[in-house]
Amino acid sequence: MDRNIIVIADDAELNRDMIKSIFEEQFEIIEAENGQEAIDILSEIRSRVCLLFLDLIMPEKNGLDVLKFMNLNGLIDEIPVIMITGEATSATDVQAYELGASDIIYKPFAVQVVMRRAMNIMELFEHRIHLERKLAERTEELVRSKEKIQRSNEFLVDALSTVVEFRSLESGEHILRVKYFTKILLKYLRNFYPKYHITKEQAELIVSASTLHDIGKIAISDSILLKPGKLTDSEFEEMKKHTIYGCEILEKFKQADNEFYHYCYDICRYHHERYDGKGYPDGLVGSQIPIWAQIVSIVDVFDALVSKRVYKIPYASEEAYRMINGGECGEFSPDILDCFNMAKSELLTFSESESSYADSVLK
Amino acid sequence: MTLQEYYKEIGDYDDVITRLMNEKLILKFVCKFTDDTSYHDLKQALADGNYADAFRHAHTLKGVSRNLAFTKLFELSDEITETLRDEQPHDVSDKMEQLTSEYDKVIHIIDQIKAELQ
Repeated sequence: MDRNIIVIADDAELNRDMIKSIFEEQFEIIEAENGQEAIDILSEIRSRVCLLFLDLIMPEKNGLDVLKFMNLNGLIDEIPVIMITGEATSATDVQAYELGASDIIYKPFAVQVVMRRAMNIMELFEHRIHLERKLAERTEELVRSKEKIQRSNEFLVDALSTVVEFRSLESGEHILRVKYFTKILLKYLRNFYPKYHITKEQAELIVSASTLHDIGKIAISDSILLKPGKLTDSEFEEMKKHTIYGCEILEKFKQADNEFYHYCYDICRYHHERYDGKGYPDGLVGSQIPIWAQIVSIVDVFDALVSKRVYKIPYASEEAYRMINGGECGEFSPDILDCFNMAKSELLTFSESESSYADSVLK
Repeated sequence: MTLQEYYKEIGDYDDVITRLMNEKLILKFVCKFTDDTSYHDLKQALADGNYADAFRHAHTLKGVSRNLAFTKLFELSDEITETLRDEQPHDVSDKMEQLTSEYDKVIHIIDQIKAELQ
């Protein structure tokens, strides 16, 4: 055992000797004549101390001072403390226990009792420290495997979304940007609009779900999906159905009890709804549209404006901001617009650097 | 005389043997008591008018004498400790006189113990 030092802090040598006589065969003993000495010793050899006997009333910092010191630097969790006291005042006892003392032994003490209690407490502490270490290791393993699963999930979701994107003869960059923009907007929403109660975990799921918003496009025929010119009315009506088709695909492997499924479903179906009820497919109004769908909605519009598509050349980012704020792309909720405007510099930085990258990939 | 017989003069042998379990150990600690400075420190602190220190030394003496089961010495030092607990000036001269005579007696007995048993 590498922890084998017992520190005895008592101002009376005779008291120290009595305790020392109990343990000196099995342990290394270091004595402190006062509180300050005890503190110095503990600071120096903290990792090797397995028990501290602590007198309450001592010169140069008393026993409670030592306990307070041990609380400040975490020693109290590493080293068990047995108070030795001649006091029978319960007030200081309570204080000592509150400050983390494991036990209190009153003078006059019986050596057998001191020995049994000390051994029990040391065993208990060793055991606890061992368990905590085990638990920490186990937790780390769990965190690692959870991260692994999350990364695999993310990979699959991204791959699936990119299949759709590729069929539209686009680079897949749109997916990545929507994901990134959604993340940024959620950050502002969570910080400035706590009323929506979006937790960190939920935000991560929403970001992941955002990539699937256009999955229904897989069911749109090439003649419409890839048409370079303006769509006819009937073609546009068919195109609008990608929101419904997306949900139909998702429903084939519905997981009603899975939060992630519901975010995917809501985002697929409602990311073309508008705050004033003029969107599609259901014409929902205001807060009827789930907030996560509202976020993906504005993000999708913004990215469509600033990126190159088969049917158009991109707008400048500033122009895109002006159009969205001016209601030219439909109406958005004031909360969402507020987040969108606060996120402006972050969105611009990313869209400008990344879209040029996307362009170079396309060429 | 045995240690037990000497103890009759100054304290409670049954108590101390029950707690320390071992006569040799008792002998060792009893002999060490003559090195304990708390009685002299208490006297000095009172002479200096330092009642905070006086309280602490009385308290130490009380703890040590109790551990050794020096019954009378413990009782007297306990009374002085309680009188001085507020660390304010108190007249403890009567008590100190009794304490001194008991302390001298204990030291005298220990000297005899040392001469005969050590």
